[in-house]
Amino acid sequence: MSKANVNIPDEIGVPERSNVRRFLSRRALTGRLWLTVFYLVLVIFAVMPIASLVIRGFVDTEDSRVVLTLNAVSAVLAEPSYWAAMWNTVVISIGAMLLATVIGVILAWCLVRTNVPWARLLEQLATLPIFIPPFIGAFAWVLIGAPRVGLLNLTFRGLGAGELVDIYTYLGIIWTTAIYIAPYVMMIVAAALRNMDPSLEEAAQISGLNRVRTMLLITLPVVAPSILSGAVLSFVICIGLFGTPVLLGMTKEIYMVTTRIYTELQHFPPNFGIVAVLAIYLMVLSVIANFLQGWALKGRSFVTVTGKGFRPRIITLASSRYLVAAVIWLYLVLTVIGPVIIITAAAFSTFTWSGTFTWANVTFLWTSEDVRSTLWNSVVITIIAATATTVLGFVVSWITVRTRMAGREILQFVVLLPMSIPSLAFALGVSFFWLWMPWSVYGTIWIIIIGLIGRYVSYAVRAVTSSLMQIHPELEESARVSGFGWLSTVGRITLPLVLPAIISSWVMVYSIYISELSMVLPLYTANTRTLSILSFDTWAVGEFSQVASLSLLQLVLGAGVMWLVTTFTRQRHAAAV
Amino acid sequence: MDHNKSRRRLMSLAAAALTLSIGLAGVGTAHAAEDALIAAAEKEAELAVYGDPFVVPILLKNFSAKYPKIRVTSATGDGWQIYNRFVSENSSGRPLMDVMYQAEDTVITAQQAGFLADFKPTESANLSKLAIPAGGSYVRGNGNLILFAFNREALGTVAKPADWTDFANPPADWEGLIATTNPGSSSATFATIASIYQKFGPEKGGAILQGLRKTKAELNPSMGVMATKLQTGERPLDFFNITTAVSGVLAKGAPVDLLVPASGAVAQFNAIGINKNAPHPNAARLLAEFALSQEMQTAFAEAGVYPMRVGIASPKGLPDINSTKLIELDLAAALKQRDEILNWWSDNTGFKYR
Repeated sequence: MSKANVNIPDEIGVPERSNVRRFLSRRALTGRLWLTVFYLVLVIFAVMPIASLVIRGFVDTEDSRVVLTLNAVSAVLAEPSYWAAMWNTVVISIGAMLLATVIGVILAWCLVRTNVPWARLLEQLATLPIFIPPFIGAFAWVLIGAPRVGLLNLTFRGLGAGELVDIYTYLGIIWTTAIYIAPYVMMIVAAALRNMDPSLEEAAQISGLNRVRTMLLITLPVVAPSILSGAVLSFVICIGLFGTPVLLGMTKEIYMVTTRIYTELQHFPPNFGIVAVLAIYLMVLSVIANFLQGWALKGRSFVTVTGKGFRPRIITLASSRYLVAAVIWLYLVLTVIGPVIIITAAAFSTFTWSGTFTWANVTFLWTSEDVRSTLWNSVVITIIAATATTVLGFVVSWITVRTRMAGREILQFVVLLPMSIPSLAFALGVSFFWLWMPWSVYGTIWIIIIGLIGRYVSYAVRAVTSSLMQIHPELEESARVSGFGWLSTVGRITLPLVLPAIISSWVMVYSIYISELSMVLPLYTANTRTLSILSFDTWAVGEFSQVASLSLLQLVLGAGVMWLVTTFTRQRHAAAV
Repeated sequence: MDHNKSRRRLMSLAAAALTLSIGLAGVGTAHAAEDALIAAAEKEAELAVYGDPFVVPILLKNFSAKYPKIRVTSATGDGWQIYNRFVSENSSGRPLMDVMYQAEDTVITAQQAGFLADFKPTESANLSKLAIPAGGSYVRGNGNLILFAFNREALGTVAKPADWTDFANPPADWEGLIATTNPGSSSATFATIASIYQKFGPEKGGAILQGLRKTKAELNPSMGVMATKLQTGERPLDFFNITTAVSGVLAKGAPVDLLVPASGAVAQFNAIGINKNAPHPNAARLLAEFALSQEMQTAFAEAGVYPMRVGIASPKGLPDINSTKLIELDLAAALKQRDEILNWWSDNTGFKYR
């Protein structure tokens, strides 16, 4: 795709007159200065936490002197429980990745390529688990699948089948993790299936392949990069998960690396070197996963989008389409509808399964000073961080897609670097860095905001870049020819065109930030506790019904705001049309 | 004679007047000092409290109601987790915490590390003997009892433990029913395990802990989580639990019973520590004094927390702390043997503490 020559100094043809040249070179200088400042900000936000984490793993203090050491590395390598945590992390993450990929691919294929009834509604509903924080999902599954008292076991016992489910097992953790990350795979694969030229499948069928063989031999290999991309994303999310392993794994001592980091922070004296090395473990795992993805796709071409217009070919299912729809509904019952009903029931119970109901746990939401202050912090942090992330994401996308500025590849690299770093590891790096700085934002909401932006700006860049690349630069060039300045061009042409992508990017990071637990855990202080920290603390003191009511509040803040924003933008779009 | 008598009366009256005026002056000075402290604290307008997840919210709710001009924030969690946070902040020159209100092992450690300011409560005469430990170098704000806890409905006809030693030879039907917690992260658990170590010795005490392994006991992340599982019946028999965690469950009407072990329960205390580098030292001192006041200690008792002031009864529905048989615990000695006790626990239970 060609790049627009938006008025960026490096690209502009230099006029003849010397005063204009001086003017331009001054502008060029100013431009470079701004770019340098921009780089610095991004380096501080995105790179320094990772660097601090790595450094912390290899330095210690001896007699008030900072020395390089391999003590923490040796301690981690010598201790079997850390190896066990690594093993658990790999096993559970691979298991959850495989299950999430299978669910995601099947959902995508059924919803995009078949005539399953209510496909559009089902696809929208199937993305909802993303807006259920993993901690809340795991909490709901404790109520469903715990031994002795879980709803499923109560039912099975009532039927005389004994206790068939134990959520506190490898399988339980894999299941609970997978069902909540499957929508990521589904969305990525669905997009690829929509963009796939049906002539490939038509050619296969003309050659005598039946539907199943066509799907296995043509469709799936063609969308393999998307499947792989979804799988790697699932793996990276899994290794960094904190809420689910704490709730489900610690009970049976199935520690993952994230839970080991948490328990290390709980012990005295703490060994921050070990904590850093464990976080580096997670980084290494995600780097390996990304490397394997690159290696698997190296030298292969997967071009499916051409200039030719087409619509995806719909496979007509006979009466089995209702069965497929029923299976998808079952998935929705297990991931969204069931957990929400169960959490609601728990929120209105005096205690779990007491059969006695009360408003006390719900009125607690507006009578508790803790809820008020943490809700305020959560909303302020989320709105500022989501807005700043989206703005930064747009600027980075614009520079990398629309200009030929020197170093723009480095800019993209810097921004994308934390994308594969688990949140807990990144947050520890943020805390190490800002505790070392002579001037600091530690103890304020800004450290959490900076951490969130650094960790997730890549999400906004990805979302906006793909949209920006679809807009031909000639629109902006026309505006420039008509006498618009570059700022006016961006404001009046580019921004309105990419507004849907900007809004969806904002909603996406908002939904992550409003319930983020592992990023906030190492960074909060008394003054800056968030709703997710309050939920976690409330769980730790055993107030299950209050956790349920806090979970409902988080659901409303997450899914509710997403619904409001999308409804509002749809109405505006309809009005504009 | 009459003259002498009236002179004695006059002298007595004068002495009484003098005593009264001195007393009134003292009260006046005390009131003046208290008013000055309140004014200084309100001028600081902020306060950060770190500590016990059960008791700190109760304390701060009452404090905020009484001193609404002071904005109070808190970070709560397991004792050592919160202590580590405090040390990290202090070491990097960014002290944020004003008051530490949590398990006394962490307060002792903070004090020995030189992190805490001296604090002598003005109303120490009204505190019970439990409030000032031997050595008197810090003050306890409230007490907790650590007892056996079980869900009577979920246990049904299964035998209940009567003493710690029952765990050395557990009945077969206890398998899969027991929950316990980690002494490496939980101060209350450490106090209990140290009590068993000191009371029964490594051999007999070790046999008690081995019972947990025999019955496939479950290691829970916190006392609160254990209380939840007790309440739902998921793990209906706690090796022990703390009254602050269970009193809420009892108040909701859950079918949970507490039992004092025949050899004695364990008393565990939350202590008050004021950060030497507290950003709001006056507000910190005001909170520390308030925690020990008649008003707050009464509120503690009403919320199921054992008060440390004379004349206030133990919480309703819980055993009286003054008449309950307790295991003598030398916490300072236990802290010196911390690693040894933790390894002993780990060797006998099969659980890792770290």
